[in-house]
Amino acid sequence: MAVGKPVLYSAWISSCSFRVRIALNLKGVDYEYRAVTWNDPDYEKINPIKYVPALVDGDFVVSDSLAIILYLEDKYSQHPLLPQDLKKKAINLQIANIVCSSIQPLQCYAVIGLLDGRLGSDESFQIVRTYIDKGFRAIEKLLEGCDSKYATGDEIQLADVFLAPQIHAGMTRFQIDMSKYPLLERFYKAYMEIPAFQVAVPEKQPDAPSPGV
Amino acid sequence: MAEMEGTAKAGRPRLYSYWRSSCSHRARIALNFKGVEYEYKAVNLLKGEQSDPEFLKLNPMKFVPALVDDDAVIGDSYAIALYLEDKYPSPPLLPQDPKKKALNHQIANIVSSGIQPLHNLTVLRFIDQKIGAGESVSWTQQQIERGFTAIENLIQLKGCAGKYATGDEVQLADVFLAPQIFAAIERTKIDMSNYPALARLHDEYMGHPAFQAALPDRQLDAPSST
Repeated sequence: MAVGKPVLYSAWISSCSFRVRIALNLKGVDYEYRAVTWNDPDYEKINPIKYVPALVDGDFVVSDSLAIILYLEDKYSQHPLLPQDLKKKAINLQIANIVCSSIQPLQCYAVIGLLDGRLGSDESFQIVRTYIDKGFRAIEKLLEGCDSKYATGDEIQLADVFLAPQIHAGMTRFQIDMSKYPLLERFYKAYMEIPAFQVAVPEKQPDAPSPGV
Repeated sequence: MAEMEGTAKAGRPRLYSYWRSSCSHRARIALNFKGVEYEYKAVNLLKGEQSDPEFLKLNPMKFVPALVDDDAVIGDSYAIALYLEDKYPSPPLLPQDPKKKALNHQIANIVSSGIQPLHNLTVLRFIDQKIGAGESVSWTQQQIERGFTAIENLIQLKGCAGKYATGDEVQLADVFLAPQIFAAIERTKIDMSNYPALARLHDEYMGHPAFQAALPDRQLDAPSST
């Protein structure tokens, strides 16, 4: 193991962890993967809010996927994820925040409601689909007329790093019909041709369950 | 500071805001802190004005705040804060040091992804409807307490607080914390004795002019006191 390799605390299925894995891969950062399981008591010492992911870089610990990615953006100048242009930067941050504040957290809360028994499984499922649909429709509107390869240009940027995991989760876990969101559907196909994204997918992580089990 | 509608000068940014929206509150603090004069455009969420076709064009998510600055239209408080940070670098909201910067983003995100979205108006209406009338109150308390416990622990763990959350200067974390703590105290009546660092920060924010001018009650669309 190389000295000084950052450590990523991650869970295979976590779309927040997926975002950071993509960013690390795009920037060519070699990292150590440490799997965190649900309600791992030791993990609270690493991240008081107990969510994955967290990045440990030497003696520095940072958690929250957006905070980690912006930290990586500062530390590793290769493959910049934010453009210089203020408007383009803002749209990247807006799309990232639609995903990380307005879709994904609601996905979790519906799941928690299910676990607490307060929501039935059908209801929980429908809530999540409603929030995904609202967010995806809004992003389609924001990017209306987009003819670039990816969301905000012909290079992968922050919005793409946040969109890929959300679309993946939508398709694989919540039966989202991506044909309703043609731009996002097109972007996703393009993302999945990129090694940095392919290697980051949940199914390929060390803690993913073996196929067929 | 905010100007009345109808007296906007050319070139001044326009902020679409609702007096009580904590996300709008963040944007107001950032604008005030940076000394940016802006036009205040009220969007009445209770009357559903966020669904008006004109507003939908600005923000298809139907959320406030939205900032219109020349041809830039930004419908997210985080994106607005970082846009202002780039456009008006002084006084800065983010430190140069990447680790301190990351900590600010982490605290801001606990609020903006981990607390506020779980008790916004849409979610609360849903809970009252689906789970039971009044259930939204205890739900809100739980979300806030969970998030405040995490932030309090984080601040203690990092030993980062000075006069403000991450040092002796106002930074991004404070922009996000102030509205959340204010709402928790004023509206949800959270017992802040469990969160001494956050309670102290609240007192500091209430004494800072940029934060005072951003308070919900001071906004043009706040109901007049009777």
